[in-house]
Amino acid sequence: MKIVVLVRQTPDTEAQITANSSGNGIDETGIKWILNPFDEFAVEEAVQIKENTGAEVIILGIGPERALETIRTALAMGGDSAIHIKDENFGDTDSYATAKLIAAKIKAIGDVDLILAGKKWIDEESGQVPIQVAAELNIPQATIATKVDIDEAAKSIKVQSEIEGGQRIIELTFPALVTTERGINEPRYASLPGIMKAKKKPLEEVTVDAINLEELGLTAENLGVAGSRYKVDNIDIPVINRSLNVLKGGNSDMVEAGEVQAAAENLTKLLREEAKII
Amino acid sequence: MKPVVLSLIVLFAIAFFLRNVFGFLKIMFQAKRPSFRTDQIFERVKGLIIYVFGQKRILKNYTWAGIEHFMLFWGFMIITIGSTELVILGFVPGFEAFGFLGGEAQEMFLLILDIVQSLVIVALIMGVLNRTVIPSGKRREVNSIDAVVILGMIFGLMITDFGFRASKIALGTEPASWLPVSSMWATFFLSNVNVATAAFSTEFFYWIHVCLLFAFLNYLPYSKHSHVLTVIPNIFFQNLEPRGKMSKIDFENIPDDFEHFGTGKFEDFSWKDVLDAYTCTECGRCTDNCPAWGTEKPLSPRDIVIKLRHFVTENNDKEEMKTEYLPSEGWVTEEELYACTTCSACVEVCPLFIDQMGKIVEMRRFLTMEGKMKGTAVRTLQKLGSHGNPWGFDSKDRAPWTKEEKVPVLGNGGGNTAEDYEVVFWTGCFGAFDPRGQEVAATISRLLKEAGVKFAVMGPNETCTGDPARRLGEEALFQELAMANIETMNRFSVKKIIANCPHCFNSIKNEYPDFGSEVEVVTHSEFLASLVKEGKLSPVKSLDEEITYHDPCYLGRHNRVFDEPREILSAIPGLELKELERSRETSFCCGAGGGKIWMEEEAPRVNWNRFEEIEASGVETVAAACPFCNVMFEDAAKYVGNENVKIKDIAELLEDSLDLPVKNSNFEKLAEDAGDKEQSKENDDSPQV
Ligand code: SF4
Ligand code: SF4
Ligand code: SF4
Repeated sequence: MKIVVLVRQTPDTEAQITANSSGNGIDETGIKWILNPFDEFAVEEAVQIKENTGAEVIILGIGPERALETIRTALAMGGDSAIHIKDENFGDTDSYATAKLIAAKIKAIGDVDLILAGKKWIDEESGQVPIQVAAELNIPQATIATKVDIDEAAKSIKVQSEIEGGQRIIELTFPALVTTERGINEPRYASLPGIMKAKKKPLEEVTVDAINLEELGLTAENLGVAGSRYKVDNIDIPVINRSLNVLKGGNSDMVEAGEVQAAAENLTKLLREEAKII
Repeated sequence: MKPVVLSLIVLFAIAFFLRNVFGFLKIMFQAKRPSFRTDQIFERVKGLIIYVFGQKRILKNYTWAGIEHFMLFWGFMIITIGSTELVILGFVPGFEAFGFLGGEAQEMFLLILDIVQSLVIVALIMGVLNRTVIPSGKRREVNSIDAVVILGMIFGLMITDFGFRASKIALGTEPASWLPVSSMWATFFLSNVNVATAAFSTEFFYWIHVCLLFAFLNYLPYSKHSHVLTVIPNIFFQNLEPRGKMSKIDFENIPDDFEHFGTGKFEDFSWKDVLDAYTCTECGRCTDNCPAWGTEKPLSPRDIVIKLRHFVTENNDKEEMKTEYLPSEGWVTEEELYACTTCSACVEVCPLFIDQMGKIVEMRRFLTMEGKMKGTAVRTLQKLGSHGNPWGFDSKDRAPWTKEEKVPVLGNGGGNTAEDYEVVFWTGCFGAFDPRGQEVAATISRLLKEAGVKFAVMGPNETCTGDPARRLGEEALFQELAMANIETMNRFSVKKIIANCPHCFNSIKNEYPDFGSEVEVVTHSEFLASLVKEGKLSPVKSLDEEITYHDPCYLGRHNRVFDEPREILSAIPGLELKELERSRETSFCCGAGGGKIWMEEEAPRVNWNRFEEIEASGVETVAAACPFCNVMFEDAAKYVGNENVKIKDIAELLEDSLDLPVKNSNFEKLAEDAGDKEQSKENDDSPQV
């Protein structure tokens, strides 16, 4: 069985985001980059499948030079080999072109049974690429998986997802694409020595120049900021005004039921009148 | 005839024994991690005298078993002389061990032997009672067959010696008056026998005794009582390094054929680990005191040690010795290894100086660096790597209280060299970011100011010491953080540090020197205690409270700071210090150490257990001297819904007792007050209009 995991490098969840000078992107100075947390679930799931079935796990990352660090992290978690599609401006290529590039590479690998990816990227909050890859490859897909079950003999996968009021179970036959949601597993720690060791694993670096764009129905103009089918005009960082209002009640020195009730009423009032959320 | 038969027996027994010894040495040196234990010879000999001959640890906390063992040990030492005499007697008729001293030396020896042998029988009976009727209340089972065989053999040795001496009394060749117990035997069993019977019975008991002796010698190595043979080397080669110091992995010179870091296979252990494994008597004291086991986790330190021995028994001379992994489902599970808080209670209590904790952390290293660690601590390590603190806060936000408290920050308005200051206060990540930790750190800074100590902090330039990374097994990350800190300290020419977090203190004091640090570090307990002693801080206000003190593992057991926090507390008028049952060396962990504070813990939790003990002691306040402990107790208090026990750092209590014009732990109010004060001071100073 051959599994491809799509990984993306995103800013750290704790990163303090600021807009860049032109106001239409983020300022990357001082940002710590990490493996997109949802992709971390995808890598972990692939490695667990590998542990159970002996599947081969190929890590596929797309992005500038720095994304290599992320790819190595995924290798340290247990990937067997990796492909890095490199383009310094890649971060700004839109999901349509990105999906086409990835799909082409997957086709080139050949005989891929399963593609795993995080349900979305935490930077752009976009969940577009994986599903477009599936569309591009014309294979079935199931998103937001919280549990998967592989049937090796039948070459199929059962995917469970949380939907409002219940569970949805979809069975897909290979080749298929699945995106992962929090809760599907507990990702393991990629240690520094592990990342160091991962340097010995096979890594294929592909520059965008080496890809025949015409064949994909793309031109160089479709890549990068200029070619994007959407434009970011302006980035605003919301100002958060945190204020704390403690409503007393239910304290051991205020056990009177009446007081608790009063506090609860007070809370409801504030939520309704001030916060206007109920 | 007799010497011939005896020679055969002796030769055979010795040959067999040597075979065992060499077999063992061969196993021992298949464990390849180096361990140097031949320094400080004087300390090592001292250890032997106190702990082998003085039986100090055996006696501690386990009175009944301790006395039993003390009697057995000394009985055995004396009886061995008697048994040796008996063997030589087979070659040299009439031989007397102390005959050469003349006078009544030999008779004295016989008297002592006679009494000691009786005491050994008493000890054996105590041993039987200890294993049967005296309930231990401990969740552990004992390997009883081995114990029965060994105790039976010792009993047999005593009986046959009595039989031998009694027979000789009957023959008239041993002085009855010097052998009161043997004489009783003689009167009881051999009063009316003729010479031939007595002679036969002498020979009979003689041979059984000698055979039993050699059987015992050769059964020992196969039993859990092999400590009789290994205890002396095991205590002699004990770890004299600070216990909280983990070994350094050399990432610079990694051999080409390297497979993994940490202890995965048998060869990754050290020879001392194997000696430990063959010395363990399975007494279970370590497990009795283990906070993980005490709260129903799967980890039993005793079993870790025993499993290593069983691994050898099962795999010796097989390929598995070289290929199988010990941290694995079949041997030591991940759940066991990640349950350890590295509190060192096990190491502290083991009468044989076995290092259970060392084996656990070494195997944990293997797991973590092989990418086996899961759960919440994964994020912690990632954040330590990316931000230098466990939460991933921005390091420029470290220790915001320095503004309100007007504490100089090195490299950030406080100058670029620590030489302008007496000491540098190391706030640690809790003092930098955790709300409670910040309060405590701010308190300490006020105390230092009050005492007129010139100090600065490193603020944004400080990063985590790396303690959680190292204890969780991520050695490479630890080294990265340690080097960064050492580099910063060198840059600012830092010479002396005060740390209030015992974990930071332990790393800087015991582990950083391996990476070239020469900085001197003291705990806040020690520093504040000396300020009180010198009269620079005078606790005068009576606090009038019943209080107890929790010994943090990394302060007490790991670094032997037991008295200073108590000195501070007893200097405070009105405080009545009530000791917890588990205190000082036998303190019970709060559950946070070893990186456990960053992992999810199954119920029942270690901190609940400790907090219940604190509650039950009936005190109003518990004092701690570790930010982790504070957090753990606050957590436990919330869980049990107890808001009556106050959880305070010793520094906060000290401040409460000072006669200060301004004192408040609320920053805003404090800043306001400080503002007021300055203003009024200005007014005072301004010329009268
Ligand atoms: S390791 Fe020490 S304390 Fe633990 S069971 Fe063995 S001998 Fe006893
Ligand atoms: S160090 Fe503490 S938690 Fe770990 S095994 Fe020993 S007693 Fe148990
Ligand atoms: S937090 Fe305190 S009690 Fe807990 S392990 Fe650390 S020093 Fe020990």
